[in-house]
Amino acid sequence: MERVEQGVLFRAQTGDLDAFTAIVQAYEDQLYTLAFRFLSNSAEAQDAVQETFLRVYTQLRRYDERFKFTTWLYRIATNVCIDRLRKRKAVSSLDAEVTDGVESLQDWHERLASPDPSPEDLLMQSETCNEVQRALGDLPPLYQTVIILRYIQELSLQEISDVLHVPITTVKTRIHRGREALKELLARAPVS
Amino acid sequence: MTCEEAQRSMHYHFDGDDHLHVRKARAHAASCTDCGRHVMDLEMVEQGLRSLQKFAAPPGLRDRILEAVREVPQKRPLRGTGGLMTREQ
Ligand SMILES: [Zn+2]
Repeated sequence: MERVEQGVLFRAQTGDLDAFTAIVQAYEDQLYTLAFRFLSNSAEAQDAVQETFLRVYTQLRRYDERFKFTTWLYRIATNVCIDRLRKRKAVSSLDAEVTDGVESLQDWHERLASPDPSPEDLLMQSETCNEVQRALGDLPPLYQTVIILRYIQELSLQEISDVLHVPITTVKTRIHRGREALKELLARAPVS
Repeated sequence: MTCEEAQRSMHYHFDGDDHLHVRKARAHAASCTDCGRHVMDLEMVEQGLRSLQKFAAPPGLRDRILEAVREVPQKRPLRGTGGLMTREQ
């Protein structure tokens, strides 16, 4: 899973921008994919990736080399995405109160999952399995996180446990519940 | 083994475990319509997730990131000599 050499990392830690560029280049695709699967929205996913790399850069000299670099990177990216989901949720519940809470559960979910999908989002989603992405967006962040790390990023259970700082048994329980919830959500999805 | 137990144990099968309770669950699902269906549904979930494509970062994103990075200093290490840049977020 490691894609940059130690030497590049050391140089980036001294503020060498060429070395940092190599790091961005090595991980931008997978972090963008991760962020898009969390946020279902291209513009927001790009912001999240930018925020992640900015945090990585400023914190780089505090990175502890005893841990895998990718573990650290995924932890930061996951935190950035979950923060954004929480903020989105907070804003949505304020809206819901103002509008008297009469909206249907479906509207609520749609609004949560994809604020203003751009044509690019629609194109991207039609190329992929739209219902699966929507169901993923409807999962509670705790389950969404492990499912994305497991199935989209293809991390092992041990790696997920390292990223999230929770025991493997907890990772498994969350994956089980996430899978079960996805099964229910997909069973409810209209066949397109 | 009850259906509930079988369905719970079956998730360990999807994790790649092969304990006795997983084998029992598989044997149960082979002869139980509900649990057989449950396994098929979970297989569909896995298939759906694995079929999600991996994206390439949009053009321009890297430049945007590098431009933003130029504007911020790196925090100094938590221990050790550190540098002159001490700005905290
Ligand atoms: Zn059964």
